[in-house]
Amino acid sequence: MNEIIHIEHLKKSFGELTVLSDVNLSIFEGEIFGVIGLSGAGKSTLVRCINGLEKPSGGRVLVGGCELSTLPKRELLAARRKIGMIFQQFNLFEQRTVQKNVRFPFELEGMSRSEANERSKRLLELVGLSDKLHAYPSKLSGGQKQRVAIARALASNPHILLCDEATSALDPQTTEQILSLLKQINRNLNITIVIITHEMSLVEKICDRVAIIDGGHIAETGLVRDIFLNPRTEAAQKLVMKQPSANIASPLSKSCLRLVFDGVQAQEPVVAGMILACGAPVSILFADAKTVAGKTYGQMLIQLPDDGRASELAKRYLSQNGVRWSEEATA
Amino acid sequence: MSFSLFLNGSLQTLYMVAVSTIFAYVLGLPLGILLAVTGKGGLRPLRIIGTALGFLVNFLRSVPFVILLVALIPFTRFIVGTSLGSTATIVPLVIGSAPFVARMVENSLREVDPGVVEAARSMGATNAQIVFKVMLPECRPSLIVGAAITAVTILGYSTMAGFVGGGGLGAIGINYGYYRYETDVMLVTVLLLVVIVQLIQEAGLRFANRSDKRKNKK
Repeated sequence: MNEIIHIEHLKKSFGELTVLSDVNLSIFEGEIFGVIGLSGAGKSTLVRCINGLEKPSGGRVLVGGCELSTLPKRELLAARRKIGMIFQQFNLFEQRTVQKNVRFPFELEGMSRSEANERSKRLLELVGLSDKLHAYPSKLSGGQKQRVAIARALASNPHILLCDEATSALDPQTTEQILSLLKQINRNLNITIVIITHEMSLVEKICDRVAIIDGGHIAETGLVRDIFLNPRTEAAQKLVMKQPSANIASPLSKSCLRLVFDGVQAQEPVVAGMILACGAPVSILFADAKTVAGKTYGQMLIQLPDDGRASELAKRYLSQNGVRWSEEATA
Repeated sequence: MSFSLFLNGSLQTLYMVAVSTIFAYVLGLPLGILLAVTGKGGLRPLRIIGTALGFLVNFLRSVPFVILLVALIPFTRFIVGTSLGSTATIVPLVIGSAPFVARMVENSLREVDPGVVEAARSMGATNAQIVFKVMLPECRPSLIVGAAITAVTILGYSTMAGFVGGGGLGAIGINYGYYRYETDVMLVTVLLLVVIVQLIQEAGLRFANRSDKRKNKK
């Protein structure tokens, strides 16, 4: 696979405030890449460094092998046309009809009116809004607005589509529809998609790989499945598990175990078997199961008995039954 | 007290207000765009130009119009050939209100959603394209309301011009109503002015509402 976005040692600060420090990322052609982080982690700034809306304070951002921040103005604008972007608040032109919104990028290029009309019509068909050509954005639902924004972003035939919290203002059902539209665009038009979000569920549904951004740097990068099953850094664990241990008071606990199940084992009575094997009760502090890439995966955080021997038996049982586990310190 | 006197006065006033508003925008619109673009948080902040323009506008706006009216008499004579009558009054009216227009335009442009501007930038629009294809069309309703407010302000200024030989309803009010104590003339003049203000304001609001696609009922 070809690398389409290459970021190395990217730094960005606004005056005294450092928003990004030493960000390194590789995004490949044709993938759907997620960037996830809590608000204020710097993900919006990161995405704006990709299309040159923000200029890096240090390091390099290469898009298609070319460094946007060094380009002369004309070429920078031309390069930006090859990177579409959609936003949380849709950012449609409120005083233009749906079709004129989609026509805007054509107008910038100076395309003839009839051709621009024809092509914007086709784009609106693609996103399923051919009946709304002459409606104004104020008459559309959130999902429809985002569809218009997607059509508009696709008008300049971009290689990359940046989505900045594009579904955060939408209800779950509409989010599903927009995600499947994005997936379809990714597959059929071979457009690389970068998704910025704070929701892990979104990443699980649509992304191939994900980077976890925390405090202005990349904490972890990898396949969605790997990160979800085995979050190594605290930032990743927070996002995957929504930090269960912090919310649970457990004065008795010496140690907790994080159990990781994948597909098959989630069906088996592993916990019951473990209790029988060690002969002592355990408490389940947190349990979560999700579907990733068509398979069910689960995680569980349990509190082991104080009895050392029983703990050992429990751990041994888990290992024998192929459940991955790791010791967790509770807060 | 004759009908033709008031008719003439009203027409003269409307002529002064209309022409002055147009020329005030010819000067004030580009100035307002420059203020919004070069100012802090604008599309292309240029500290020195932005501050200098801002100072110029504030300076002109702080000169009382009556003083500007008198101070500009030589300039008016140079431009129009006379300092008397309605046409001559247009010169100080334009110069007095252009800075006001500039601030109104600047304010309207600043109201444009920064997200929409960012979207246009992400599509590779130049600054000029953003101003003329995005910002001005997006704030059109606000610009129209601003134009109505400007016209009413210019109407108010135009009546002061009566003191220095300007024409229109202001001159009638001053010459007949004030100097000759014809209270009834004064009353009719004021009533006519009230009607004109109401008409301008109402027309402006309606026009703005109709052009605003955010609340278009259709």
